[in-house]
Amino acid sequence: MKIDDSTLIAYLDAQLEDDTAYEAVEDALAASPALRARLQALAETGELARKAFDAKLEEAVPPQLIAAIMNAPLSGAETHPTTEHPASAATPTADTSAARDAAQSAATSGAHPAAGRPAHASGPAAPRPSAPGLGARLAAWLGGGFGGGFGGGFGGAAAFASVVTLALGALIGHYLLPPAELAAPLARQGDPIRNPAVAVALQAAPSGVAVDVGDARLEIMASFAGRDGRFCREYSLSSPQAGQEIGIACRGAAADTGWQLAFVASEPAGTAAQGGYATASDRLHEAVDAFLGEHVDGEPFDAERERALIERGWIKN
Amino acid sequence: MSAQDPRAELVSLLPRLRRFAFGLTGDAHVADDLVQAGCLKAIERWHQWQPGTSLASWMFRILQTTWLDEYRSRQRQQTEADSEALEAIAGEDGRRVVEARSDARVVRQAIAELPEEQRVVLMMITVDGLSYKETAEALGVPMGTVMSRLARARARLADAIGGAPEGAR
Repeated sequence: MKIDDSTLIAYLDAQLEDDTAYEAVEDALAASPALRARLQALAETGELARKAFDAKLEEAVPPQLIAAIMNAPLSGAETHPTTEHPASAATPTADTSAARDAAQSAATSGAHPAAGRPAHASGPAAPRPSAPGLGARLAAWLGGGFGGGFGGGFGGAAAFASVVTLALGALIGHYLLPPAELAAPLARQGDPIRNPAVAVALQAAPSGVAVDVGDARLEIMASFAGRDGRFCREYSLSSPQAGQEIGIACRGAAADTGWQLAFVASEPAGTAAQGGYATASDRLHEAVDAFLGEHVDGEPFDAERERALIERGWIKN
Repeated sequence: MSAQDPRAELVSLLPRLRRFAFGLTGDAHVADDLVQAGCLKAIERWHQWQPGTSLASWMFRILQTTWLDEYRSRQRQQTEADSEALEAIAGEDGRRVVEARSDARVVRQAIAELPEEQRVVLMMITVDGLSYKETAEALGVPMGTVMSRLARARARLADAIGGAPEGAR
């Protein structure tokens, strides 16, 4: 049987249809040094192609790009809650091609900045986050496992953005939280937040936005001013396997402080609602409310105040 | 009671989207412009995304069409001039001689010289790791087409950056 490049590449990509196809390739490889050389060349170039773009995956995402997306209006596009059927989210008018074209044209023409840098779709430029020292702190939290991508570029706003955005994409997006760590992750109160996905969400995510982290769901619930002058944020981390954790993390307003665990309560899966994501039981909520009653002043921040703090990196000027 | 915010979903994809756009456009600034335009477009038509399907491949498709529709025309003159010059070079010496074949810039340059339809599948499959099926669905072409584009892309790449010559098959 003739083994062409396509077949060899599909073999390398683990995309052949069935075992018979793999056997055929392996038989042919065993019989032909030339074919083995070709496989080797294709494998090497595939690896080189991946490596050529590794740095891009790890580099800083410009804060303006994040801000432009987070500040985009959700006007025509309804957010569908995860339970909603996709078809029901489409509005009748949005399905006419004229409306769609108009929307596309508005989106793209409005979005294209004159200069070469991403910019806000509307409104004034976002304040640039500036958190010298925080990057180093986060890097220390993230530990050696992620060291390769950081390359010693810490210190200043760029480093802050680098860590936050690297972690948002590479960690919240791809980093699988080991379920075993979820139930008993964060040791003692007063410790720095060591879970990178949680640390990044505390720093950068608005309240009420859920992000899937592997099979767990992470959501920042609310932000408060602590009585001791720190900022505090309540988060919830839940997974069908590992259960539910509610924590409150606080940070000082100086640039070189990070989020520290002020309170944490957790319960294993199965103590709350059955199936899907566990919901915290009353006991968990009572414990959190009791802590908040003692340690924070007044109501949670509204969305505008919170956004301003996120954009400033939770630093008081 | 938390709705998934499309904006947060997109932000969490940004590193992958920027990598794809960088490979597509060959220019970091243009890539970020493209990613921003593509994300805003995706938010506008979020109702068209089918939950449960790959958001990344849907976004790659949006980036590609946005690139075709909105951006490339602005750069056409420069791009065409560049590729003509490159073809002239490649024509002189069928295989490009590359001193530092592992240099990421050299590899990216070789990828930039691929025809766009080949470059797109290379970025989606080889670099990003999407399956052939996801890629075919996202691009709206048969899987056989994806495979032949990918094979041509990788054969050219292997030749350009010093793999075994094609005659070895």
